[in-house]
Amino acid sequence: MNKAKLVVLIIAILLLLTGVAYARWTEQVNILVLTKTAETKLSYVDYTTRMDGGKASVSNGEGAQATVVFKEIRPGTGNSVTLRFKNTGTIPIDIDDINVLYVSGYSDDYKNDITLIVSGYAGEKRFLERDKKIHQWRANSSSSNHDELYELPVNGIIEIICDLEFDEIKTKENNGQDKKEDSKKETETPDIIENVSFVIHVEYSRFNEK
Amino acid sequence: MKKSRLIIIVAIVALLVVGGAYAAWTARTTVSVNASSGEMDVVISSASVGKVSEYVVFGKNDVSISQDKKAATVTIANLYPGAEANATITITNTGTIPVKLSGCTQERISAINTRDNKALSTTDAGMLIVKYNATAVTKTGQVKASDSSSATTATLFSNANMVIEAGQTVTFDMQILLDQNAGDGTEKALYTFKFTPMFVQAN
Repeated sequence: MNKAKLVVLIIAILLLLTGVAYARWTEQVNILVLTKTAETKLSYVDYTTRMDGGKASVSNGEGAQATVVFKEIRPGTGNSVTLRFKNTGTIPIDIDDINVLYVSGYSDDYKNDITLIVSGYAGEKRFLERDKKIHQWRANSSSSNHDELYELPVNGIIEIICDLEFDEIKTKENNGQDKKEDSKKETETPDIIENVSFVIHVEYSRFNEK
Repeated sequence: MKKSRLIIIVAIVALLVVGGAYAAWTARTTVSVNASSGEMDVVISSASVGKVSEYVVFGKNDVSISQDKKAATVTIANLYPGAEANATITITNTGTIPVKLSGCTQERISAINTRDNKALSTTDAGMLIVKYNATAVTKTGQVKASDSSSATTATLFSNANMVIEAGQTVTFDMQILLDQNAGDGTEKALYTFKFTPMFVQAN
């Protein structure tokens, strides 16, 4: 057998083998996988007030923040607004911090006399309390906490209580006077009215599998 | 008559007799051949739910097999970073010949944000990871292989070399998880992908 014939024979065999390979049967199955991911969402719900005097209102309550306005507050009073936020997402969320932003409205004359105490509650459990003079909040809006304060379950509610305390003003007239003259002191206190507004922003993050 | 001529005549006669005998035999012999071909077939014989992370919604009703047993649908909800859902799909060789797992494909059909139906970024789309463990019952016993992918398309188990005898099974344990580092862009998203195990005749 010469060389040419050998080559032809090999090609023929290869083609035959290829034909066999193509003739192989095949089968397959299909598995379709649909995966939906979770959502994290903290939503402002509503507010309540407890006033010694003056007025309070909450506006622009949206998502994880709301604007609180105290109007016509007087020295010697303590007023309070309680904001409620709900976990409207589909997994628990971590409450990381509560920020007090855009603090304004008060006059510099009484900036050391007004104190804002911000407390965070989940049911009976208090997970945060910060007590600062109003101008200090302006300087540092954060509670400086960056760890998880509280893990809020789905549909769970937190309450942010904003207590605004306006100290009694010590005037030249009443400083150093006897207790007996307290009633007189009150009448001598000038008519001071202050306004304070700020935004409460709740910082939260997605729950992570531990 | 010469001896050589006699031999030739005898030889011719002998050949004629043999030919006649041969003709007679072929005429009378019936060889009956009933050749039936084998059957190659694989079906999804069962599907079940494995470990599921807390808050992830994935139960036995979330896995279904089509009537012809050639397709299955797995639906997982509320997956979040670091969480996982596990499903087990068993494929049985219901044919009459051995089949070989030639490979599997994983194809992402979509990865969208369900708030606006827009496609996720490439990074966010790649945050869904699927890990597979395959276990086949072969002639020599159980053979195991693993593979995983988060890519848009991937070819898996191409070197698994699993031959499943007739009546035996290959099981795929699927672990579907969202990367621990998945960003906010993966929230409220829908990932859809198709996993296709492919088989050829073994011989």
